[in-house]
Amino acid sequence: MLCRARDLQKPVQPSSGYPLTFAVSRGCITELSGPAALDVLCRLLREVQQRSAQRSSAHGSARRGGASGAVRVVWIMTHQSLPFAPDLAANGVAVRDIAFVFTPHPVAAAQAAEQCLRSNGVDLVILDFAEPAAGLCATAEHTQPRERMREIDNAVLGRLLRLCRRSHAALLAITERSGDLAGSLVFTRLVAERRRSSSAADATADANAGANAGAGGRFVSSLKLVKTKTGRQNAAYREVLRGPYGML
Amino acid sequence: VARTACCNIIEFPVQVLTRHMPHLRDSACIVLAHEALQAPVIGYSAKAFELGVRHGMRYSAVLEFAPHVQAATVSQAELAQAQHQVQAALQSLSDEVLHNRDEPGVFWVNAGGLNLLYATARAFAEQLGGEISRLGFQARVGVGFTRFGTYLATVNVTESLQEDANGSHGHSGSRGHSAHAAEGAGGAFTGESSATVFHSIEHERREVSRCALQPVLRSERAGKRLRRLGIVTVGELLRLPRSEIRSTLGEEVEELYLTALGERDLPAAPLEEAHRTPVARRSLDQALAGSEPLLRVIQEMLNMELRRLRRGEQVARMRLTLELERGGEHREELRAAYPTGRCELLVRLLRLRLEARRLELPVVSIVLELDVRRARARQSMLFFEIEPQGDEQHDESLPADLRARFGDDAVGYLEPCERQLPEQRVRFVEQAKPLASRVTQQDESVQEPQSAQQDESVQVVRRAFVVPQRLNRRLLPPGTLSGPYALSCNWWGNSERRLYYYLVPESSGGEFSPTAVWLYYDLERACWMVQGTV
Repeated sequence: MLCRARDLQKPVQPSSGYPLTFAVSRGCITELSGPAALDVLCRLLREVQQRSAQRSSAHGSARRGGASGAVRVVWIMTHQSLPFAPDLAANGVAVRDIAFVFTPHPVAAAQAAEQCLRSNGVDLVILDFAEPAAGLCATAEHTQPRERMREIDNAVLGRLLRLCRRSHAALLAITERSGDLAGSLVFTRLVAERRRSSSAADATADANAGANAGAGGRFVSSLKLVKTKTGRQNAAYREVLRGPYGML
Repeated sequence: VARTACCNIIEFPVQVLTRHMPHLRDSACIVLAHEALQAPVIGYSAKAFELGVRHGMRYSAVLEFAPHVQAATVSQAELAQAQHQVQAALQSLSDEVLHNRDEPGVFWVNAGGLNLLYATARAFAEQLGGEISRLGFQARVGVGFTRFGTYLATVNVTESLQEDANGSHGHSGSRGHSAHAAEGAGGAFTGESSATVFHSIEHERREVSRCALQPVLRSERAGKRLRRLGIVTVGELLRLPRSEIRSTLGEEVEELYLTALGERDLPAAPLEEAHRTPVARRSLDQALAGSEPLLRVIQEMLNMELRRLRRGEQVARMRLTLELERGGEHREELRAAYPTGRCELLVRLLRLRLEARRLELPVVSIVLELDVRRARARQSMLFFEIEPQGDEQHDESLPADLRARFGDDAVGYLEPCERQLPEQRVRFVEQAKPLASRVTQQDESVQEPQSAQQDESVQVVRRAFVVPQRLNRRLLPPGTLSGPYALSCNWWGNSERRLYYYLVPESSGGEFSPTAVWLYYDLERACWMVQGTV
């Protein structure tokens, strides 16, 4: 049987082992949960955007009237709690090049993701189901997205997975708790947590990182590999973060 | 740097009027915004200017000191038609013609690469002037390197500019002349054409620095403030310290400062194409339920309408009105990613929309309205542009598909803004801004990504509600509160005074802390609000 060489490509597990890279995530479904999910996501966003920029300059798509060209990252949301754009920009993410799609519930979000992946023009689709502050609001609607998320069953996930493999795109679901996106088709489950930096080891790492002394407090994020089909389970990757101004 | 030319049809409304009524050409006439005694003046002839008429004056006020002045109105349709005529004439010389949205009658023509067709830039300028005068208008033409410089050249016609334009570089009393010319020149229409040519970018900068600021200032207030400080010319403005401009002279002057500095340019856009809206109606013999039978009928109607399109016409929007069985209507409006004449693309959008909206009642009649535009033929792009094909074509139509399925507001892009309040530091825009028009932002918070130096230290990313939500204090978990951090702004209008806090909830025993809450106390409204989470 004849097939394209690119269809034979498999996700490659790099030797460095960091689990949230485009090389690892492409062609599969990843679930990312925990309070530091957005912090660790910035690296992946940056990587995808740099890769898209290189590809578009190689194909000369910038010549098409100077427009920003194709949408390579789509962020699908089921709520109104957006990532704070100045923070993303401070981490090197080009916020203007991310298309945000608002859908009423998780099932519609999955449909939107399917449409994005079918277009063959997207590298990374983020399904954002996490809305940690919803319970604190006086006027919050009790949509209970976690229960609606159960409607995203294996059939839906199977379709999404097939499309991911076909278009060599990555599908990343941000959830509040690990396992919210149920199903065996989730390739990797990661939990990103954060704590305030206090120990001497953190201080050394902080100094090495060259963090800005004028910023807010120091934090340490931990990205833990809860489930993986290729990597080292329960491996944790730590990183020093600086807090926003005013957060000590 | 590519050359650009500005064609300024001074007092465009008056010229449109006198083209239709030539007997008014040598008289004192004014154009009013509408037919009323209180209507403001939007244009005046040279004789009316001599009588003391200025823009914005009420007609009743003009009658006080010039009772014999003749007044008329020019409809928007007439102005638009005249603009399209001028654009078509200019497009015969260069394919990229942009116009100034704020000031009708001002056009910029891309003159890049035309040096092989015209021996000198002056010859090109004369050709432009000739094309416009053939339509019955008189224009001033400036050929240079920036939209700002060429526009100023057309509104500040001074002796020094004219001399330089003719090749002699002697400067004689330029400031006095510029300022004087600008006083009148918001430019009364005298019926004379002229052309100014800048030989180099340095020449343009030098001459522009001597031009008066008044014609490019939109608000009278900013002009008064600058005059009070003795700042009349562009050069005098540029000598001010950059960091103080915004705080002391306001946003408009800062914008002008950056434009004069060359960091920004005057806004310009292609003239919106004239469009027509053919309508197809069909009453159904039998009421139709479900999207599939409906789509078949609509596709048939669409096909017939597309066959009737004239050569070069394409569909940009569709409006669908479905009349339901027991009265009532269901309306849908769809917009294609780009104007197209392909039926299957339009039907795909219709299918996505109709499948997303389930109609409760059967449909008895269909009205399909198309927004048809003429496709822009850009000859030069035949050599440089590669039409989107295959995958690229798909991904350009993705936002349109998502809008068709989830509604027009479903897709957006974040555009950073220079504001104080967190929820105002970002706004949603329907379309991503083209790279070419992105301006250099100085504020760190609204920056494009800063990659190199901050790669090593990642900042914590917060979440923020689009609109801050009122806090339900009973649900607030116990924890450590850090703050307050005061934020106060808009003291001149709807004042905002907030005390910001971060609440880190008590950990349930583990090493890591749960998600912190970003909240504030609103001192104006005396209530607690949730801004987001950390």
